[in-house]
Amino acid sequence: MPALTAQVAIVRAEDIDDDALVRTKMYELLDLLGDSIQTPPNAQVVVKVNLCLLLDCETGATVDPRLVRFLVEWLLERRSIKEIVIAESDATALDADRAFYGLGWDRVLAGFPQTRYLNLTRDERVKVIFDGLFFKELEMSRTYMEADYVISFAKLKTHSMQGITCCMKNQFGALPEKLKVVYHPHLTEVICDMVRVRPPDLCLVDGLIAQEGPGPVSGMPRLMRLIVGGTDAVATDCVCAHLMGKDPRHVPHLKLAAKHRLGTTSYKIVGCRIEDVAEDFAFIPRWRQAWMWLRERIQRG
Amino acid sequence: MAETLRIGLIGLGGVVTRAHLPSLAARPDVTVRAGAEIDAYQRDRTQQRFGIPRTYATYQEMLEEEPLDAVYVCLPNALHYQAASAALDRGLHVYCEKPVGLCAQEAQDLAEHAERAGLVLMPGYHMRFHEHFLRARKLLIERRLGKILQIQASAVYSGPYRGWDPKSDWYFDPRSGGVLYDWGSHLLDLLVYVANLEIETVSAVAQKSLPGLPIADSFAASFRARRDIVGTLNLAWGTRGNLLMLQIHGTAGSLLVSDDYYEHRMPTGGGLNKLATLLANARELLTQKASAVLRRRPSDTLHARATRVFIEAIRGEVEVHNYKWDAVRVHYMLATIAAAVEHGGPVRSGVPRERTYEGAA
Repeated sequence: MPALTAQVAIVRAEDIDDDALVRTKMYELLDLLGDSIQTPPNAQVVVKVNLCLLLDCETGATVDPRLVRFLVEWLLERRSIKEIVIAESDATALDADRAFYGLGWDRVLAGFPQTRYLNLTRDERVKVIFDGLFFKELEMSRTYMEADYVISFAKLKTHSMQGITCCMKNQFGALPEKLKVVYHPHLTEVICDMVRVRPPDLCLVDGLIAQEGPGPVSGMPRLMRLIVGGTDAVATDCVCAHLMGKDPRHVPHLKLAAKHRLGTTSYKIVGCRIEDVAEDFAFIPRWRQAWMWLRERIQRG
Repeated sequence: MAETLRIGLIGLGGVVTRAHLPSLAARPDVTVRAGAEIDAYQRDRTQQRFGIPRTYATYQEMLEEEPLDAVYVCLPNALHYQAASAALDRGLHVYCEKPVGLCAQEAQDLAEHAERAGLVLMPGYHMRFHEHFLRARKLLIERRLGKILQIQASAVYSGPYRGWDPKSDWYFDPRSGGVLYDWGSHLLDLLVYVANLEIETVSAVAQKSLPGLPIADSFAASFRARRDIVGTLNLAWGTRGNLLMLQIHGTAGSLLVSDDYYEHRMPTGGGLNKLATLLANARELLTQKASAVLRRRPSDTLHARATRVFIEAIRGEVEVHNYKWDAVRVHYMLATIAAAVEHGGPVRSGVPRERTYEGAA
C-alpha cells in the first residue's frame, strides 16, 4: 500500500561540469531522503539505469554515469551493502552491454569491487504470475526480482507517446526482452505492470541535462541542473511532470497508476521548490500525439 | 571622468573612416577630440570629412597634448602593442584593433597592464557581436548540441588583393602575420567566444596562392582541443568567394553558423525544419539587404555594437574583463598554428592552463 503522502527531494547543481559540486548535490539529495532509504542489512541492490540508446548523457537521453557513481559511493559509505548491480536490458535498438561499455560506464564504476554490471536480458529468468493490467504472467530477471532493494535511476525527459518518461517508464526497461516495441500499443498498461511487478524502492531522476521535444531519444537537450529523488514512483514522476511544465493528469501512465493505487499523487517537496526550478518544456504537437494515439488504437484493433 | 567621454583615434585609416568614426559620431555620449595619423593626406582628409577638432602626426604627440579618456588603436598590426602600451601608461582606456599585440606575450603584457591599472582593454573582435554568433553561443551555453565532437571553422575571402586602400600594403608585411593574424584571429576569437575552445595540439600546412608573395596566405590546420573535441581550421586570402563559418557538431545536433547563415540541425524534423531554416535565412538576408540599401544605420553595425560595449564597460555598466584574456588565448592558438606550420608536425599549445576564461555576458 503506498504512503498517503510521499516525500520527493529536488536539488540543483549550478555548475554541472563541477564533479565535486555534483557529488555534493547528489549526497544532499540522498541525505534529504535519509531515513526513507531503508536498505536491509547486507543488501543486494539493483540500480536500473536508463541507457536506451548508444547516446551520451549530454544528449539528455541517458543517465549521467557520474550520478550513479556518487550514488554507489553514498550507499557504500552510509548503508550495509553486499553488492550493487547496475542493470539495464537490451532494447529494440540497443545492445545493453555495448551501451554500458561504449558509454564508459565500466570506467566510471571501476574501483568499486562490490559493484557489477548486469544485462537483464542475459540474466537467469524467473516466472512471475500476477494479475496485471496487461500481463498475467511474466518472465523477469532473477537478480532483479530477488534484489533486496531496487533503485530506478531515470532521466528527466519528454516522451512522444506518454508525454513524459521518468522512473515509471524506466521500469519498462526492466522487461528482459529485446523487442519491447511490440508492447508500444499497450504501453500505458505495460508500464503500470512493470511498476507493480517489482515497485522500485527508491526513484532517482537525472535532470542535469534533460530532454524536450520528440523524446525519449530524438529530442533536444535542455539544461536543467536538477536531480530528483523519492521513494514513490508515482509521486516522483508527478513532480518530474511539473518540473517539465506538464500536468501529471495528462500523462497516461501516471493517470492509470494513480487509479490503480500503484503510488500516491500526494507528495511533500524537500529541497528546491518546484515553482523555482520548473520550466516549460517543448512537447510534441497535439496533432502528432493524436496521430500516434490513433495509430495505437488501430494497431490494437 | 567627464560626462561625455573624450576619445582619441590612433590611426585614421580605412577601419576608422569606414567603421569607428561613423559609430562614434552616432553616439551623443562621446566626443572625438583628436586623431593621430602619420600620412598627411589621410589625416587632413579624415579631419575634414568627420570634423575632428585636432589632428597630430604622431600618437605620442596626441597623448601628450590632449586630455582624453579613451583611445582607439587602429594601426597596422605590428604597431598595436606600442600604441596600446603608451595609452595605458597614461591611464587611458583602450579599444585595440585585432590582434592585440603581435604575440601572446605582448597580448598578455597589455592585459596585465590594463588589469593592474583598472582600465578597460577591449580587443576589436567585433564579429562576436553578430546576432548569429550570439545565438550560437547561447545555444552552446544551454548545451543544446550535447557533447561537442567536431568543429570545422573556415574563413576565406579576397583579403587585401582587391585593393582596399592604397596603404593596405602593410598586410603583406610578414611582421603583421598575414591571413593567420588577420581573419584567422577573428575565427579563433569566435571559437573561443562561441564554443569556449581551448586547442591543445595542432598540425598545420600553409602555402602561397601567388608565387611572389612574401607570406603564406592559405592555411589548413587540424586540431585537438580540451573536452575531446577535434576539428579543422581553413583560412585563405585570395578567394573570390567570401565565407566565415563555424560548423559545430555535437551528439544531439549540429550548428552551421556564419554571418549570413544560421542553421541548427536536430535529429528529427527533416524536411519541415530545413524549409523553416531556409525561409528564416532568406527573410533575414532580404531584410538586411533592404535596410542596407534604404538607410545606413551606423548605430547598429557590428563595430557600433563593439563601441557601445566599450563605452558601457568604461562607465562600469557591463563587464568585459574576460575579453582581453580571450585575446591572449587567441594569440596562444595563433602561435601554435604558426609553430605547427613551421615544425611540419603536431605542436602542443602553450596556453597557460591555470587561467579560467569564462566569457562575460
